[in-house]
Amino acid sequence: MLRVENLIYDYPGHRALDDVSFEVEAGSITALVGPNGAGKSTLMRVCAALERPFAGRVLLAGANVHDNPRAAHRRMGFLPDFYGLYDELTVAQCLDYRAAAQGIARTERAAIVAMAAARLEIADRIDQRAGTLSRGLRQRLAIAQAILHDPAFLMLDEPASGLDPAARIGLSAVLRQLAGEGMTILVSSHILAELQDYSTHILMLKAGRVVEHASLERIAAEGGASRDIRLGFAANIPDLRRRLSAITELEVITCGSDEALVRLTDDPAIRAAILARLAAEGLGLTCFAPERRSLQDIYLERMRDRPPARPGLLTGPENGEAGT
Amino acid sequence: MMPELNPELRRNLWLQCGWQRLAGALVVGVTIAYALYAFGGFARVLFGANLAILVIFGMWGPRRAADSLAEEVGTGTWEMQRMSGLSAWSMVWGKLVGGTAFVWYCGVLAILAYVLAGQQLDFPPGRAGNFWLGVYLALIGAALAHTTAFAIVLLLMRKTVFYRRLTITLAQTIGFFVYVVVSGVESVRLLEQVDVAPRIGRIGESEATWPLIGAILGSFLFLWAIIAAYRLMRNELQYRAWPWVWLLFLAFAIFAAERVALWPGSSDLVGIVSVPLILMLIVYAAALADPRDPIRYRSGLIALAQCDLRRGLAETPWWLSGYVVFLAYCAVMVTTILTMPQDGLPRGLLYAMLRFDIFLSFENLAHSGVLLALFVLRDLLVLLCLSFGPWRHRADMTWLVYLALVYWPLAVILTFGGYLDYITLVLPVAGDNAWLNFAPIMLQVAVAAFAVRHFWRQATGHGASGLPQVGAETA
Repeated sequence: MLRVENLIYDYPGHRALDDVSFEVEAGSITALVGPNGAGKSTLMRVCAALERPFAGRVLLAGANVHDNPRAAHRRMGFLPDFYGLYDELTVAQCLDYRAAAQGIARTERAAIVAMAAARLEIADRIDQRAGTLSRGLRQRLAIAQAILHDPAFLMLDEPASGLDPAARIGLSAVLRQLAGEGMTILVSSHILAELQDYSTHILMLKAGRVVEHASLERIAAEGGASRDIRLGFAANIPDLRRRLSAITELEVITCGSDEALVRLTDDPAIRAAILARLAAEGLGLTCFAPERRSLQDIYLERMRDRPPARPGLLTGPENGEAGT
Repeated sequence: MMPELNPELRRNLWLQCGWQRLAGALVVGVTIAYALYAFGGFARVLFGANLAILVIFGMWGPRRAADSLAEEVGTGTWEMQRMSGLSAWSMVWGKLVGGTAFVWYCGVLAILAYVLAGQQLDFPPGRAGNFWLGVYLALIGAALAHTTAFAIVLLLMRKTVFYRRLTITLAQTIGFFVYVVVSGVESVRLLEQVDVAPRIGRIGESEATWPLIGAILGSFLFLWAIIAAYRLMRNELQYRAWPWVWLLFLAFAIFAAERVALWPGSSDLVGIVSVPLILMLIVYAAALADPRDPIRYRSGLIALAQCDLRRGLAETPWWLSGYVVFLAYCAVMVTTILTMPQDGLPRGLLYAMLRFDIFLSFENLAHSGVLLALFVLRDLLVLLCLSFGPWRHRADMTWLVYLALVYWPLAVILTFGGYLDYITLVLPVAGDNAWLNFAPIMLQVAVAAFAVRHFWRQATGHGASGLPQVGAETA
């Protein structure tokens, strides 16, 4: 859907995007994450044809967005981090204006406005002035404006910032719904726990370079998450570490007197044998569960350990890295 | 079926022209007009209407035109607008007309009062044409002032990356200045006394009065302002464009400067000299208006090196192409002066204008043309130096202060201190000593060029070619 090739964007004395390449799959929700100053907002603005890159190109469905920005805007939606609404207009007027600005014919506008309002669950506020809406509802109205023309690709920059927990949950549901309807979404956020709820892929940026681009499933599997097993025991066992260390196929990561975190191999037969041996040792095993690592853990690990991708390589979400 | 109204215009009309506001303005206007009539008759109404036209069109209008963009930036709706499907032209006229719709409504009410009062005063039929010329000047002045303010805000947006707020005082001030120059402020008094309404004076001894020139020039400038706003809006929407419109404008400026300079009593030489001065001012204005982003400059240089003419020319700064035209014209001027007969030199005029004996030599005048080109080059290099260096965020103001200091106090001190032989050090006025004429300015140009190169490398993290390094030194 969106293909970014060798993107470079400079500010005087500072390179914001350094040969960034990646491809976003159609129908996916890609979480764009990275520390402050990593280049997330710049990347989104360049992809939205709001800024022109120093080098490289952005292809949306095969067309370079900078060749004809207006044509690209008809196929994409973008909600910047700092957005505003026409507070003096009603919700209906805001949506109607936006629909007209997107070139939707007058005869179709009423139906499209009603549909967008229903989609974002603001139909009951249609005659209310935008300035009187709560922050969560304003966010919904802004998203409704961004998707009125039914874009194939939607970008949201920090859409959850400033929202209360209920509004955030609502936003997650909206994004899942849009993705379910076939929209491809790129969303940047610092709230990783929520990104984990609805994202299918993750794109990590660090110092203007891609650190990681993969599906969440793959990241979870690759990071050893499924090989880390948490063990629980019915009673305190003073020499628990020694007894666990005696099992050669098992690596002890942390160990207390009644619980431990160990790493096993992926081989199911060996796992079954270890489980059987732990049961046979009479340790009172009460828990043998794979340790789930949060997206935040993975993110922090990647940011700490992994060097940015070598410039000039196009990263695909499933393939890791593929030469251009 | 009714044609579709421009969405931007419609939105602005929703916001600006509610029936309460329209009715309120009408009631207030009629009340004030009646009060003026009651206290001073139609002459007072004429005076009040004239003042209202000045305030509404000259002061309020430019502010509203500038605000139609600045408010969008301030409230965060501009990025959403940039993501819409509206064409650049639709955005320009929708915002310009829509943003000032209420101003025009109030202004037209004031003009109606002005016309009605004028008719009641029985202006002589022979003067009616001038009266209507005055009305036209008010309208074209307003249109030009509003469009100028609008275009200046677009220029300011171009100079600011990731803008969050804009100040519109500059746009409003220039808009007001433009309105006053084109339309004048003294219409009532002059209507009563002489043959034209908003006249601000005659030029020389010709029959051509300023109102007519102002009307013609104002109409052309309005067209150019609209074109400029459109091109700047396209630029804002990230479209690239060839610089041919800019070159056409320079051609227009040359033509207009030559025509306006040719009043009776002047010679061809005056036209020839006035054009480089106008071009110089345009180059300086273009340099101030340019973002002077070293990254874009380098991008353009690399594109040209790669023979990507479209991208290279599109990213060529206006001041640079303006300077090239200016240089070409200077060359023409110098050649013309050197090939003119000796008696073609307008001794009296130059005496009056400059009061320098050293001007009375063809060779000196030709040298002055070369010096002018070098002085402008030095000033541009100083501006680039400021723009690429650590003073980047204050470059415009620092440069204006530099110009004021370099050209004004030193020239005054040398002139009144009796050191006219050394005036060539601070002004592009050549003396008899060729070495003294050219050596100092050449040295200044060389030093400025060296400084530009130094700061350029700091700002881009590299030289004139190739890609910059990551983590380049931040200036």
